Amino acid sequence: MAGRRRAARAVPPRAHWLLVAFSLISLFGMLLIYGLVHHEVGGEGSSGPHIPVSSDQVPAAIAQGGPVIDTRGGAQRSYPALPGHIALSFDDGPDPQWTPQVLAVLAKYHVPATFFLVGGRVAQNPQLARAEVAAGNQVGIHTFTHDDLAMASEWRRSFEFSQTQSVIDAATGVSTALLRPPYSSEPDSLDNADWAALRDAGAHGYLVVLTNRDSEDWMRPGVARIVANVLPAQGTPGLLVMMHDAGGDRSQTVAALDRLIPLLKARGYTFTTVSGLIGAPSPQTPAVSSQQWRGRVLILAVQSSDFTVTALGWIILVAGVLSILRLLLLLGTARRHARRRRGPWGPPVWEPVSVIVPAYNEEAGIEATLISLLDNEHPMEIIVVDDGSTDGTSAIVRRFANDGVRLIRQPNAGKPAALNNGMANARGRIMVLLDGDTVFAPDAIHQLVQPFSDPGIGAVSGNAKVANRTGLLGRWQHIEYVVGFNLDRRFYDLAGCMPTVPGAIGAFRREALADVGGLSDSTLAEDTDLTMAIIRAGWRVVYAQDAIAWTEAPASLGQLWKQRYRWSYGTMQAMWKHRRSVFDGGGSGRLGRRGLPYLVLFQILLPLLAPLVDVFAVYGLIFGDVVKMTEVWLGFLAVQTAAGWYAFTLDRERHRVLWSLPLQQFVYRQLMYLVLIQSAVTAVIGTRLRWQRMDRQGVARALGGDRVGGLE
Amino acid sequence: MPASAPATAPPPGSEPDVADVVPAPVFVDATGRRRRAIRTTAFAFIALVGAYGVAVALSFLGGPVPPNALLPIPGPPSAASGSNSTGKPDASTPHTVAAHAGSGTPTGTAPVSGLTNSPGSSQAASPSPSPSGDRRVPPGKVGKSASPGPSSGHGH
Repeated sequence: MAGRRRAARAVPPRAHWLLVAFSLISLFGMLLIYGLVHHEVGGEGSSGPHIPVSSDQVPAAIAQGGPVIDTRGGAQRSYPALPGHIALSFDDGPDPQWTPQVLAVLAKYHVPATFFLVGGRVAQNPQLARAEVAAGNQVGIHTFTHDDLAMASEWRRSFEFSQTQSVIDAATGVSTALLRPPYSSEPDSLDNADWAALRDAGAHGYLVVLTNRDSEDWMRPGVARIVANVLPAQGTPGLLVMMHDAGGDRSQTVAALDRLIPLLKARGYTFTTVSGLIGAPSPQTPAVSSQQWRGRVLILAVQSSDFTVTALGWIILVAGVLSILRLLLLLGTARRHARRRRGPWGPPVWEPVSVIVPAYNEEAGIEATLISLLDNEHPMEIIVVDDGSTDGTSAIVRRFANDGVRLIRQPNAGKPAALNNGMANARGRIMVLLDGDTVFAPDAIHQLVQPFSDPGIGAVSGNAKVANRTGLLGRWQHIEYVVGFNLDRRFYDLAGCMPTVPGAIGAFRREALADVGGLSDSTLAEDTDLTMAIIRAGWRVVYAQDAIAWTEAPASLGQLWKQRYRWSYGTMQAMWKHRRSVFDGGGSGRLGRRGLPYLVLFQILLPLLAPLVDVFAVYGLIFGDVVKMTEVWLGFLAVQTAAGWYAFTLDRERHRVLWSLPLQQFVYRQLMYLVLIQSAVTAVIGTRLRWQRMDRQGVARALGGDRVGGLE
Repeated sequence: MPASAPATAPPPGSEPDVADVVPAPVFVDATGRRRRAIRTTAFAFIALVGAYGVAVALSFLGGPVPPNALLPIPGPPSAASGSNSTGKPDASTPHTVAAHAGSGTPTGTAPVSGLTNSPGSSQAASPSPSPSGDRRVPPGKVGKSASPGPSSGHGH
């Protein structure tokens, strides 16, 4: 079969979908890691300590015994603190703000301490853990996510231990046998669930370190209170003091420490580490290399996830703010536009026009198109250029010969060539261009040419609307035409940077067309290319919102995909072709410095971020705050609906169809960004595209035709 | 994206006469060199990130990492020596507790290094909180054991 376009060779690229899917899955994985470290993912005990259960299975000797408990190898022993000795211990770190301050106080008095590290935090700040060990302190594990071990599954406990051990191995170069369970306290607070977790920790080879002196510094009771909590009433009993160097404002802890150490020293206490406190050898051994590598990968994973998620979070926030600002800008300019354009353009223009209809296999719609044109009062000649149709298009057009419709037939050469051919044979000084499937309102031509009373105006865009508004797809496109395209056009009009006069309805001054050498087929969006060229030639392009045409919109997702592929790819081509307008003066500079950035930002960059937003949304729905997510979404929807409502009012359309706006988020939106990705990839890799053409159903005739009689 | 595509378009403002010359379509790279280069880069990227992803997955899902230290348990004498000085024998003597009757002490539990996961141990040892009237909750226990998680209030 004869291809319509010469460029019909290669198929569109596909391999990039692998890349896109891969990237999105990676992002989701990073979100999971981020959530794990930031306590959003993982459920179980991460919301806090469990409600105590019975403690009848905790051996009395353990409950009443010392703060260090050994359940390794099935043993059940506890070890008391050596009298006259004190071991300071700090939980929940390392923290970039407080840990260095704690280390500074310890160094000031030359005393060691023991740090129970949260694995996720070690991964975020490995240098702090290294500094702790380098300064002669001991470290122990405090789980990876600060999970309540008593409520964790066996798998989860093993996970918490192993990940923390690995990152400590990688960060400090030592492996540790000390463990303090999160939310733990003194041995007599153990319940049955804690005890089971403790025995499991022993089975994993860990010595469990509780406390016999809780400073309760995490409640921030005041420096004096913390000091009083730690100082023994009398004598020098062995102390294992629990404090915190992370998890909130720890300034009281640091200040209390600075007071406590001299006081305790004055009492004759010897400062030691946990193992020193029970007279045991060091629990730290040189780390095994393979475990260190595992830890390094974990550290890299946590840090890269932190960076990526934080950066993308900011980018999405900026994108959301920009979207809202754009809507506000559009509403503001639409209001101004509606006021400014209320009056006439100038003296009425009744100059005869040449109407040019390019047609390729348009037998389904061409009759309705011609009838609607003939219904127009404005003086005109009608030229149909049959671009090598293989159906009965020409036969239908010939039936209108008596009405003055001229038919030009040419071998298939493409729409731009057909339009150029028609214009070469036209007599008028104003050309009205439309597609062969479009139905004009009875006054459309007259409305469309009124701006030409201003000699500086080179082209006028009409108001294209969707004829077939049945089904969700038709309604969505109808909304998009009224809200998206038409609000944009009012903005472009006022800003003097109209990028596109749609092929469905537009009028051009012959001089303007001659200035740019007619239509070019170097892009797939010849209408955008032409409009930009005309602006660059120094002409103004405006929007006549009352010149209405109904066009047949794609009725299936597949056809919509093809149409939008051509549009977005063609628009990118035209933008690239006219990129140097950024440096131009006058109207061309306005296009380059207002129109093009606007298009790049809102038609390319922000839509390309949309898949990221969807991944974040899915993550948020599964792990995050569903209520908050819904609120944000509803907020966006409310702003969108308000904008849509206003646009529908301006265009005198029925608002009822706006109910389908929320549903647009689910299929339509994804289709739009996927097609954009496809277009961008095609542009970057430089594949040839075949002209993507939809099969006309003649719907504009059935629906739009009725409306021609019914409206205006 | 437009920014990265070479200029295949004719110089703006000098659109050729349509009748004679057909300009090369914007973006199209007839040689296919760009496509091959980008494809190679993309696959290299996928391979790199994929390898990284596999490594991360292995790190996260890998088996238990036991502590290396066979921390010797201090003998009773050393601990007992401390009891004399404090005068608090109860707190300073290491306690060795007989296996708790009925609690299903894991007989097969790991050797000291704890290399195995001992699947039965915690399950058997942790009592279900449901049965009978055994809901003895020591007073003041909740407050005592509630130390703040890193997530409380402050994100970092």
